[in-house]
Amino acid sequence: MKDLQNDMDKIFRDKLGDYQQQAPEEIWIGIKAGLGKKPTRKILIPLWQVAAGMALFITIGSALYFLNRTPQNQLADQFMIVPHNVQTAPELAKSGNNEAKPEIAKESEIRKTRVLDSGKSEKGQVIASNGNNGPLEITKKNLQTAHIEEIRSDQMLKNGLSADRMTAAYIQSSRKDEIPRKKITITPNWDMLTAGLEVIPEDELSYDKLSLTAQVSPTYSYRDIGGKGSEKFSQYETGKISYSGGLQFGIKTSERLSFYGGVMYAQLGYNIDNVERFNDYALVNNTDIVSVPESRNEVYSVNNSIGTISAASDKGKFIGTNGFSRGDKAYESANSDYLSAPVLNSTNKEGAKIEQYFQYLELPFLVRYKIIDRKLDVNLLGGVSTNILVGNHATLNSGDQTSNIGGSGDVRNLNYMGNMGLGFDYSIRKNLVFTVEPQFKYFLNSINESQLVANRPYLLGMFTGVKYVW
Amino acid sequence: MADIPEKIIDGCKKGKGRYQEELYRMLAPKMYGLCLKYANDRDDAKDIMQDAFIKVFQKIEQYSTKGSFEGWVRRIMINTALEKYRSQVTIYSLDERMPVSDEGVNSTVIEDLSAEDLLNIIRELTPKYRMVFNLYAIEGYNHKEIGEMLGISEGTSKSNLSRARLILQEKVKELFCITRDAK
Repeated sequence: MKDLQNDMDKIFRDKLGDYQQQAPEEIWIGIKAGLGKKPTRKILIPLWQVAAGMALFITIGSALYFLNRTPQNQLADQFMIVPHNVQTAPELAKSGNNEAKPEIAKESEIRKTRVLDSGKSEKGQVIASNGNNGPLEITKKNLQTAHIEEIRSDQMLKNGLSADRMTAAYIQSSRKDEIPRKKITITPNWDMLTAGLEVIPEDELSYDKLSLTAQVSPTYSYRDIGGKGSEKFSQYETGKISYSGGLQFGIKTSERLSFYGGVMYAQLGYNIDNVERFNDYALVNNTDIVSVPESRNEVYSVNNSIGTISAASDKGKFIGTNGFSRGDKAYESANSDYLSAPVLNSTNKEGAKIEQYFQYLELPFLVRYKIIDRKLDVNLLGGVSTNILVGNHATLNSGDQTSNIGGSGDVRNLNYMGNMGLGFDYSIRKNLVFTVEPQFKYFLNSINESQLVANRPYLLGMFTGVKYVW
Repeated sequence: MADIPEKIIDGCKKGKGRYQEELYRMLAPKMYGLCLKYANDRDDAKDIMQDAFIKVFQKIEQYSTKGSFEGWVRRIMINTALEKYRSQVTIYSLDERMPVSDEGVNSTVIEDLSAEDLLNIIRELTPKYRMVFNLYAIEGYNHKEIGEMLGISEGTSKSNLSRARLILQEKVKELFCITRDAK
């Protein structure tokens, strides 16, 4: 029985061990399609950090927004204040009708009439209207219900109902994007009229809808790396100061919300420190190394967190990176015959640094939300951008010499980046705004194609520029 | 086992499409034959092969030059098939009907069958028997290794192999009878 089993196994093994069959073409088509979709990688930033970041962003934004809601603005948000039976001073003079001239009410009188203890209106009448339902006399009861009295007595009267406050409130409450509000119709006194209260035409209240912004910024760029063995790269790689700038076209959809798209240029990169240049090019032939190459025009490479910088060395020169053991293949020759790490002659070596630069054409899509609307506007901004690689080069700096040694291999051409920041807008002329925007940008994907180390650059910048609005 | 030129492997490591296709064309017939042994049907085999080759290209940087590249790919194919099997294992959790007769079949009868016949017979096994039989009889793994690969005990592996053989003998007999009657 056992022999039969063994025989059976053997027959199956002989006949099927190397069994081959033509594979349907659709498999290859499926593989190509599958490879087109890049493999999902582990998210480098833990989710709790993302959540914490978003929570912080929302908290700061909300705090700024509500801190900015001064009592006056709250009042304006709640009521629309419009002049009632307003006549300008010249008109009053022309009419010659002294009775038509409003009496100058003392504050105490105004307070008295507006507290409405009697429930009846007097001079300096204060009437609340509710939408289109016509004037509604304010009674103690409905004031309490609507919390009008407290706001009015504390703020409007305390501020003497100054005309400019009323104007500001009127302007604020005239925003198109807000729901109709309750109105308070006030019979103005002379102070109000002489303070220059005027009704601002509707078209002058509308905001500028389009804008073109030119910005430039010094940036600090570095990278977030993850993956097996990635820690060692942080020992000798450092961030880089660079620059970024470009144009953005914006469109406002409401007083506070606007969308921007444009073209930006960003250069970023990092330094690879602690590089040694060996002028002596000494390879030691020992049993671990296959042989010493006859020709010294070898192409060597420097391993870094993005991938491999191909470095065509001059004859008799060699570029390498400290900090690796031989097993790490830091000095991996492009020539496959020499996979073992060469042993370097430590004489005549000198310190050097590699600067790796990447240039990107950035196509941003940003949303700006105005959280403070004053002379100095404050905006929260966020969005994503598509980054197209347009430049990739590395230089070797040794002593006074700087030489171009190529660039990193296996770098993605198309990348995506998240943007967030604050925007400060200061109007310097009617259509011209000075902008300052501290921004943080973070690559959403790894820019290298290495499966082992994922490299996501980020940059911090203080984008400064001017915005033309119309 | 003729192995793959290093130039092609390097090209695949760099993500070059031309080398990926070249590698695929070189290995496809063998690997498809392998997948057919582990799959329930041809569609299943196509799925396994597609998923496995995508893994090969995505993880090719992890391949060390120490071992045979084809052996490495073959292992990925098998692992992918086993993953698929594990995902389907609940579907096949019921024991299949066991053959009543323990009468053996002459090995010459099996020898007369073509590779395609044997492949069809193997594919008629439920996955848990098919996997163990393939891994043991064809790939040459021992029961300890099979147990680790499938997450079962050595004893279960032995038991499944024994049952697989019995079923295969029955299937061979059935096929032999059909063939003889047809003649």
